[in-house]
Amino acid sequence: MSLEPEEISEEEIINRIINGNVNLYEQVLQKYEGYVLTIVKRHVPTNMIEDTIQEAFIRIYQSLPGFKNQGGFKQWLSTVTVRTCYDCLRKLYRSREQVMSSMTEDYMHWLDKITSAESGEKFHQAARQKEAKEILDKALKHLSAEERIVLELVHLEGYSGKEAAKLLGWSTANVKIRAYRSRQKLRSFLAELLH
Amino acid sequence: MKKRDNEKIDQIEKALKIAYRNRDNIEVNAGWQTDVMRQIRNLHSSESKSTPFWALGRMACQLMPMTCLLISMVCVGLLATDFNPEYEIAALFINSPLEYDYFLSFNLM
Repeated sequence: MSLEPEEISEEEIINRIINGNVNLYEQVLQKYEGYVLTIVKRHVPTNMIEDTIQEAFIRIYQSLPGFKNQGGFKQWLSTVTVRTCYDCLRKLYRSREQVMSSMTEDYMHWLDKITSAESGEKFHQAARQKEAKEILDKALKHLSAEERIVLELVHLEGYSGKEAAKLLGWSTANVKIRAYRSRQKLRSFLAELLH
Repeated sequence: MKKRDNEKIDQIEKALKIAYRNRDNIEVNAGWQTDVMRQIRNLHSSESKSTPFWALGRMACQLMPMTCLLISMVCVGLLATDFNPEYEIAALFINSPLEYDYFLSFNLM
């Protein structure tokens, strides 16, 4: 009696995919698309999200034979996805043109709003405006691909140095140094905006 | 003044963190999943269509460390026995030029 797809364990599904049952990969895709998409959305610019998520799932498929069940499948997925995002950022940064558009009045107005917000509600409202996203994009573009991914993982998402190092496959000391430098760079960029 | 600037920067950083988390709400065009599955099926079919030539190449790569080890062992062996092919052939030829056979030089006969 053959097992129904719903009854197959995740480990068995992975084994079957490795052994050539490609159609089962659709189950993996459906189960984890939201999770992988959240990671991709946070790390790459909006216009690159679709390409990066496709690339991530193809890489996950290609890396399945090397998957060792240490720390779980979800943890492994996030590692592959973060590294895919980092590679996409590196490609982007290699080809980008260093064009930093000047600050518009809208941005200056937003900065005033944020720095003088009296209530928490006003502050949160302002932080959700499109100007916030645009300034964030500008600030991140100001960093290198390495600095950007570390800043996002450690300062914006709150991973520890050790966790970020594991995700990126770097040493903890390297992550800590880059995290410190990237934050300093971000702060000096923000200081420039204020003056 | 500097302290005030730092406070302002802290505020902006805090706002940027919120903006960063709001990126989760970005919409992505539907249909990318179908593209992924199509690409994966293509990958799988091209992998299974690989010719025996490719299989041979893959096998050669797998055997590469063993081959290197064997070559190193032969080299070490030759150095240890002080083997000098030109000298060996010349010595054989000089000792019995009439009966000299090429195979003799390799001790094959």
